[in-house]
Amino acid sequence: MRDILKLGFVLFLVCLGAALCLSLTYVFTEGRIEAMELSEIEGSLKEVMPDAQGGFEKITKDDFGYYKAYKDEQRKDISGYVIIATGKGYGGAVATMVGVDTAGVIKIIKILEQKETPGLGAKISEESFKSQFSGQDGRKPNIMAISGATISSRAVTESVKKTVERLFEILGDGR
Amino acid sequence: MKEFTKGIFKENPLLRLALGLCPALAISTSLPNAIAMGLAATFVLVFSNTIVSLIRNFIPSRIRIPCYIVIIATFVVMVERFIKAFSPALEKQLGIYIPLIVVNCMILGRAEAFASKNSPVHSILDGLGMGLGFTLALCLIAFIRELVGAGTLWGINIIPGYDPAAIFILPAGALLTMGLLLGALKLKKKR
Repeated sequence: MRDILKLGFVLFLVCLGAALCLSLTYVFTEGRIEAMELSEIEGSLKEVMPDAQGGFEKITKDDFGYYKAYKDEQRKDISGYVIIATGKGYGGAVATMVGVDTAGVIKIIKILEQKETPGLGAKISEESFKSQFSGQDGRKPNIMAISGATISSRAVTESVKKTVERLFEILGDGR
Repeated sequence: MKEFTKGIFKENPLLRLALGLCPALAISTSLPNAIAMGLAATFVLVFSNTIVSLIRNFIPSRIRIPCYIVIIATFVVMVERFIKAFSPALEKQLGIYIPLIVVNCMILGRAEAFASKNSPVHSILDGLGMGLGFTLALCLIAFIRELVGAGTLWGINIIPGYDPAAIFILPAGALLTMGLLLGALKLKKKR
């Protein structure tokens, strides 16, 4: 009995020390991690909507989240919307950030997250694939798939198409 | 000094003791990844060795493994938080393999086999040497895989016009490279 108490006490002390170290680390890094994540999203938003000078506003409607991109500081005119499309690729989820103008024409897309096969599916992150989207109607994009990586290409194309369609559905009954 | 150098050559964790293979195979796709993984593991190894060695006389042997795991896990989470705070891009690259350092058998192995029986100074030297050996071995594998599999080194194109053999970037290439390296070392030792 005394033995068990002693073992428990030592383990408790070790865990106490660990918890102390971890809480200190957490407090020290919390602010920085949050700031980093925010600036990363902000940077990506600017990348896919380069002409939005007035910043972005996150809007959630019917469980669907999107960003409004304002043309200038007055925040009256919008130059378009930014959405994040998620599809199922060959190696897992593929998340794509898409900037569209008010008519639904794609400005630029950016692959946020992908775990596709290096050298094959991972080519969806390359300019030669992504740039096909620019200037096309997001609701019916005509995209040439990468040879040998049909699943990855389709994951991007289909998810972009679906998400842009959904965006305009939501906007449509909004006003 | 012997404690330091033995980890690099004679008892190299990866190429001689065959410890810590899982992260080595998974993350040796490019040189920057290999260095980052090596440094993260070295950091955890040195500090866990130090702490384990400092408290080695207070830990009853029956609960030593849970204690080591708690200590190792603490340092791993600290590393993960710091990488997240200072280099999110790196965190994305290494992904799940940072938290998985917790179960890297090299670190638990050194705590059990060395730090729990030796003084802190020796344990730090052992950790540094082992960590450095691990990093160097990782770099060697990554060097081959990146060069053959992508035609680049540190992301810079080395061989213009070379059509990369993508299999070396894939998991199969990791096993091939690792196996050939281990074989070559064995052969050299036999002679």
